[in-house]
Amino acid sequence: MKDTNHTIKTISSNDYRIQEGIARGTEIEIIVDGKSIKAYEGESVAASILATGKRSLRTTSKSYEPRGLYCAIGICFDCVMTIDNIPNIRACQTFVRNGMIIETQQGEGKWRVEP
Amino acid sequence: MKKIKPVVVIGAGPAGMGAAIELVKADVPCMMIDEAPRPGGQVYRQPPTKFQTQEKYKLNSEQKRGKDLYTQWLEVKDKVNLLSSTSVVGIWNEKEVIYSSEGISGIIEAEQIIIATGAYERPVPFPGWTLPGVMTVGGVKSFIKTMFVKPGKQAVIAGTGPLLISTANRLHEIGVNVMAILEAGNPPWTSGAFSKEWQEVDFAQDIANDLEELKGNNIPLLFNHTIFEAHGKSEVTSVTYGEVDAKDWKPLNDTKRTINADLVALGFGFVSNTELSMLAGCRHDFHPGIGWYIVRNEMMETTVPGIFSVGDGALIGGAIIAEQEGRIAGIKAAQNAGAITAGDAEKYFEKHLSRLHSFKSFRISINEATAMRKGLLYLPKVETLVCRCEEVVFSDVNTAIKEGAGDLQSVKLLTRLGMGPCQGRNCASSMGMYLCETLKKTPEQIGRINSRPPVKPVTLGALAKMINAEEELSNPFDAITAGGRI
Amino acid sequence: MKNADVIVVGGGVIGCAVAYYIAKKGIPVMLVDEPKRGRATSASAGGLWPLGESIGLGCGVIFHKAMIEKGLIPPDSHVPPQLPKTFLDFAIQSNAMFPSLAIELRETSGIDFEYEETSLLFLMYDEGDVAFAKPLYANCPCGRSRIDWLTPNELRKVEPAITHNVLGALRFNGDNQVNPYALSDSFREAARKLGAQIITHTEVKGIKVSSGRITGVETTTEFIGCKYVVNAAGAWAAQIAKTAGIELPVYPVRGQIVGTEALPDIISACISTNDCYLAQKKHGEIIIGSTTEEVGFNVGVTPSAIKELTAGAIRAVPFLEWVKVKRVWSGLRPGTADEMPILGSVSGLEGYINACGHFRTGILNSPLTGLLISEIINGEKLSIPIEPFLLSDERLNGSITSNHKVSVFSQEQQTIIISIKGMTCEGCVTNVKKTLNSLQGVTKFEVSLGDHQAKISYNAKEILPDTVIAAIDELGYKAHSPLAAKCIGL
Ligand SMILES: Cc1cc2nc3c(=O)[nH]c(=O)nc-3n(C[C@H](O)[C@H](O)[C@H](O)COP(=O)(O)OP(=O)(O)OC[C@H]3O[C@@H](n4cnc5c(N)ncnc54)[C@H](O)[C@@H]3O)c2cc1C
Ligand SMILES: Cc1cc2nc3c(=O)[nH]c(=O)nc-3n(C[C@H](O)[C@H](O)[C@H](O)COP(=O)(O)OP(=O)(O)OC[C@H]3O[C@@H](n4cnc5c(N)ncnc54)[C@H](O)[C@@H]3O)c2cc1C
Ligand code: FES
Repeated sequence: MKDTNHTIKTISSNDYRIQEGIARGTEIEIIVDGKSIKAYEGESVAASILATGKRSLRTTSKSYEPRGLYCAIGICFDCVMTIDNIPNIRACQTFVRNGMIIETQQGEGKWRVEP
Repeated sequence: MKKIKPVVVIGAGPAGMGAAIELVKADVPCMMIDEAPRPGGQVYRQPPTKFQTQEKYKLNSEQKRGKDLYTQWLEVKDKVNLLSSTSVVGIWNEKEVIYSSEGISGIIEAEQIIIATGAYERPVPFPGWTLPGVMTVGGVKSFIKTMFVKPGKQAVIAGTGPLLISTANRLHEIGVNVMAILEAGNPPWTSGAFSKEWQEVDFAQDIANDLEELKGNNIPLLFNHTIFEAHGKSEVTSVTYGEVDAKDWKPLNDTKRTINADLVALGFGFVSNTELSMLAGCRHDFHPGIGWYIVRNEMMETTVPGIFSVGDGALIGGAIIAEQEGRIAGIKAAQNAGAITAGDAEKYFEKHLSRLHSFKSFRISINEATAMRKGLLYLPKVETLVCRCEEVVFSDVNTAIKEGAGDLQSVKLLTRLGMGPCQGRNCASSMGMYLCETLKKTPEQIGRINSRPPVKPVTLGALAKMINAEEELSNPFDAITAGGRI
Repeated sequence: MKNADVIVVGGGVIGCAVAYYIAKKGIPVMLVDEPKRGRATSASAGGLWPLGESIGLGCGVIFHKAMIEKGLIPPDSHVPPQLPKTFLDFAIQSNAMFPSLAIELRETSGIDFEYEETSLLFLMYDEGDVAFAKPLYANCPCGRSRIDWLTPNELRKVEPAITHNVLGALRFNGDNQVNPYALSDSFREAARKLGAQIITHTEVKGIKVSSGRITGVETTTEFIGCKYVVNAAGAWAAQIAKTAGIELPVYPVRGQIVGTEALPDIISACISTNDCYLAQKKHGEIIIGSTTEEVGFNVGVTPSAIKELTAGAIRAVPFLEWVKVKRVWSGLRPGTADEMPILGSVSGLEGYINACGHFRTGILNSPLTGLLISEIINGEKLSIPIEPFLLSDERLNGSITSNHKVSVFSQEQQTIIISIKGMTCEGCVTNVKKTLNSLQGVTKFEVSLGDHQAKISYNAKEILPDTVIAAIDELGYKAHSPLAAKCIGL
C-alpha cells in the first residue's frame, strides 16, 4: 500500500474531464438542481455531472442515503435522477441534450400527475 | 426459394459482432439490437462519435486485439440492420422479441435468436458499498474509456482477477492516484510464470504486460487482501481493508487498516446476463465451479431450438472466446436457415471450434480463480444493505431465515429482496450463496430469483404503442428514430 | 408415518386460510403445497370488491367489452354478467371480516397484510358506461350509503391524476384492497404459530380412498394418513379431485397483469374501467389488470394484452404514459362456469371437502371460505348457508353459466321518494297518479299534496327513477330526487 496517510489531493480546476489528447465537439448547457452547467454532446448525464465533482445523484426513499454511479452500464439503477420532470431515469444511460433539466432525486421523486 | 427471416442478434459486443459477421457472409438477413448508442460491447466500447481521441487511448492491448474484429465488422455493417440505443425488454412465447427505444416499442416474431448480452460484475456486499464513489471496475473502465471523465482522484481497487490490474493502469494513465490493488486471491497469473494452457492464450501476454506496467506505475498489488468497509457521509472518503484467509477469503479482522480514498473500484468476477434466456424458457443448470449456466450444445444452441446463447452472457470467458462463440452460432443459424449446406458449415466451424477448444482449460481456470469464496460473506454487518434497490439489510434476511424461509423466492416474499428495478442482479448471487451456506442446501434447492419481463426499463406509453415490426411497416427499421445507426 | 386429522392440498390464499381457521379450532392440520407456475394468489391484484365484482366490474366488464368486440355478444348489451344474490351475500360477509382479521393476523403472525379502505371507482367514459352505471346506482343492492355518483368535478377533487375525459364515476364505498401475498403469508404463518404443519415444495400426487372414505394422500415423497382432505389446489383442483374419482368443473382462466415502478401516493381508490382496473399498493406499485382467457395452463404474457392494458391505464390516468413498467406476468384463476366457488363435501366420498373454484374473488372470499370449512370439519352450525356452493349435478353439467337468470338486483323491489313542486290541488295529485299508473314497472305509489312528494315503488329491471321524473316533469310540475338528479344532470 502506498503511504496510508496520503490525503486526497484537491483538483484545482473544477473539472474532472481529461483534457489531454481529446477533443469533445459541441458544448451545450444543462440545468442541474437549478444551476446551469457545461456539457458536451455525446456525454451521459452522469458524465457531465461527475465532471463537476458532484457524485451523489439521488437519495434513497427508505433511509435517505446518498447514491451515485455504481455499475455505469445501466443494470443497477442506483444513478437514477429526475430528468425533464420524470423520476427514475438512469443518468449513466441517458445522454445530455441542450437545456435538459436534471434534479437530484429525493426518494421516489416528484411526478407531475395532473392531466 | 423461401424468404429467410432475419436472425435476431441481441447484443453488439464481440459475441454479437462475431455472429453478425458470419450471418452476413452467408447472406442471411440479420437484425441486431443493442442498448448502447454504438456497437462494441463492454470491452470495445467506444467514445461518442463527436469525440476525437488520440491514438494512445486506442492502443491498449484489448483495443488492438479488437481491431481485426472491428475491421471485419466495418465490411459487413451496412448489411446488418442495427437498432442501436434500443433495449430488448423481453422474449415472450419463446421467440417473440420485444424491444423498446425512446417512447415506442415493437415486436419481432423471430425464428432464430442469438442472445449475446454479456455480463455484469458480481456484487459483494460490505458496509459502505452503496456510497457514491464506490463503483465496479468494469464500470470505471467503461466510464473512462467512453466519457473521458475521472470518477475520482484517489482510488483503491478491490476484488479478484486480471481486470483489476488493467483498471489500475488506466486510472493511473488519466491521473488518478491508485493507492493499491487489493487482490483477494493469489491467482496463477500473478506469479509471472504461466502454465502451458495459459501461454496458448493471447490473454496471458496481455496480463504479463499489464503487470509490467503496474510495476512501472508503482502501484502496490496486495494478495489475499480485500476491502472491509467504505466510510463517508455523502460519498466515500476512506476505506478500511485488511488480509483475508487464503483458503476461503474470510476477513482477518485484526489486520484492519484505514486509508483515504474517494474512489473504490470493485471487481469480484462476472455474472452472466441470463434474464432473456430464462424468459425464453432455456434450461439453466448449476455447476459447482462456475455457478448457474445455460445448457448449450457445441453449436451454442440452447435447449430451445433456434435460440443460441453466446459470449459472456452464456459463460464467462472474455472477448476472444465471446467472438468465437458468436461466429459458431452465426454459422449454425445460417445452416438452420438453409443458407449454407451442412458440409460448408462444417468447414467454417472447424477453425473456431478448435480455437475454442484450446481455450477450454484456460476458461476453467479463470472461472475457478475468480469464483466467489464464501469467506467474503463475513463482510456485511447486520445493518449492511444486501439489496441496494429495496434497501433490505442483512439482518432482514436472517430474520426471514428464522421465520422459515428456505429459498431465495421466500426470502424475496418476506423481505422484498430482489423486487426492485435491478431484478435481483445485485443481490441474488451473494444472498443465494449465503442461503446455501446457512441452510446447508444446494443452489438448486435455494433457487434463483425468476426474471420477469421487462428486463430493461420501458414505459407504459411505449408498450401501449407497440408495433409489429413486420406487419405494420414495410421497413421495420424506420420505426426506430432514436440513436444513429452506425 | 406422518399423519394429521386434516390435510389441506394447496397453499394459495384459500389453502392458507383454511389451515388457519382449522388450526384456530385446535384441530391437527397439515398444509401441503407445491408452488406451481401461475398460482393465482401470487398473481392477483388484491382487490376486495364484493359489490364491484358482483355487478360485473373489475375483470368482468373488461371481458364483457372484449366479447362485444369479438362479436360474441350483441353491442347493445351494456351490462356484463352479474352474479346471484347468494354470491353477493357471501362476498359481503367475507369482506366484513377483514378489518378485525387484519388485527388478528398481525398479532398472531407478525405480518401486516396491508388492508386499505380505498373504495372502488367505476369511470364512465361514454354514454354506454353511463347507461350501465345508472341502474347500478339507482338500485344498489346494499343500500344508498354504499354507492356515490361523482360528477367530473367531484372526481377531479378526490383523484387529481384521473383523466378529465370522463362523464363521471360511480364510487363503491366499502370495496377495498389488501396485499394478496401478504394476506396469504399471514394466514400461513399464523396457522403455523397455532400448530399447523406446513410442508412446502411437495406435490400431492393423489388422494387415497378406501371403501368410500378418505384414508390419506400420497405425496412425491411419502404417504400421509388423514381423516379429511381439503382440496384447495386452485386451478389444479380438478386434477387432485380426479385421483379420488371426483369430477370437478374447475379450469384455469388466465389473467395477465402489469405492475409499474414504485410511485409516491398518487391514486387513493381502486379504479375500474371497461379497459382495465388499477390499484396502487402500499409500496407504491400500481397494478393494472387483467384479461380473462382460457388457454389451459399456459402462463405466458401476450403483446396484444399488454398493449391493451397499458393503453387502458393511460386512458384512465394519463401521466402513466411516462411511468416505467416494472413487470408483467400472468396467473391462473381457478375458474368455474357459473363464477361461483365450489365448497363443502360431496356425496359418496366421506372426508373429502372442496375449497376451490374461487375464480376472480379468491382473495376477497378467503376468510369466509376458511371459516366455513373449519365449521364443517368441526361439525358446527355454519355461518352462512352452503347449499348454493355445493357441487351439484347442474354445476357439474355446466348447465349454469355466468349469465345468471337471477342477478343481484332482481329480488330487489326499489322504492324512492320524489319531491314534486307545483302541485296545488287534488286535481294535480290525480294527474300525477294517472301518469304513474301508466308507467310500466311502477308497482306502487303514494302521492301527497301536503308533503309535495311521491313515494314510488318500482321494478328496477323495468324502469329507472329518471324516467319517472321525466314523466312527471312533462305534466308541467318540477320533480326531483337527490338520487336521480345526478343521473339526469348528465
Ligand atoms: C462493465 C464491464 C466492463 C468490462 N470491461 C472489460 C475490459 O475492459 N476488458 C476486458 O477484457 N473485459 C471487460 N469486460 C468483460 C467483458 O464481458 C468481455 O470482455 C466481453 O466484452 C464479452 O463480450 P460479449 O459480447 O459476450 O458481451 P458484451 O461485450 O458485454 O456485449 C453485450 C452487449 O449486449 C448489450 N445488451 C445487453 N442486454 C441487452 C438488452 N436486453 N437489450 C439490448 N442490448 C443488450 C449490451 O449493451 C452490450 O453491448 C467488461 C465487462 C463489463 C460488464
Ligand atoms: C390476474 C389476477 C387478478 C386477480 N385479482 C383478484 C382480486 O383483485 N381480488 C380477488 O379477490 N381475487 C383476485 N384474483 C383471483 C384470486 O387470485 C384467486 O381466486 C385466488 O388466489 C385463488 O386462490 P387459491 O388458493 O384457490 O389458488 P392458488 O393461489 O393458485 O393456490 C393453489 C396452490 O395449490 C398448489 N397446488 C396445485 N396442485 C398441487 C398439488 N398437486 N400438490 C400440492 N400443491 C398443489 C399450487 O401450486 C398453488 O400454490 C385474481 C386472479 C388473477 C389471476
Ligand atoms: S450506474 Fe448502474 S444503472 Fe447507472
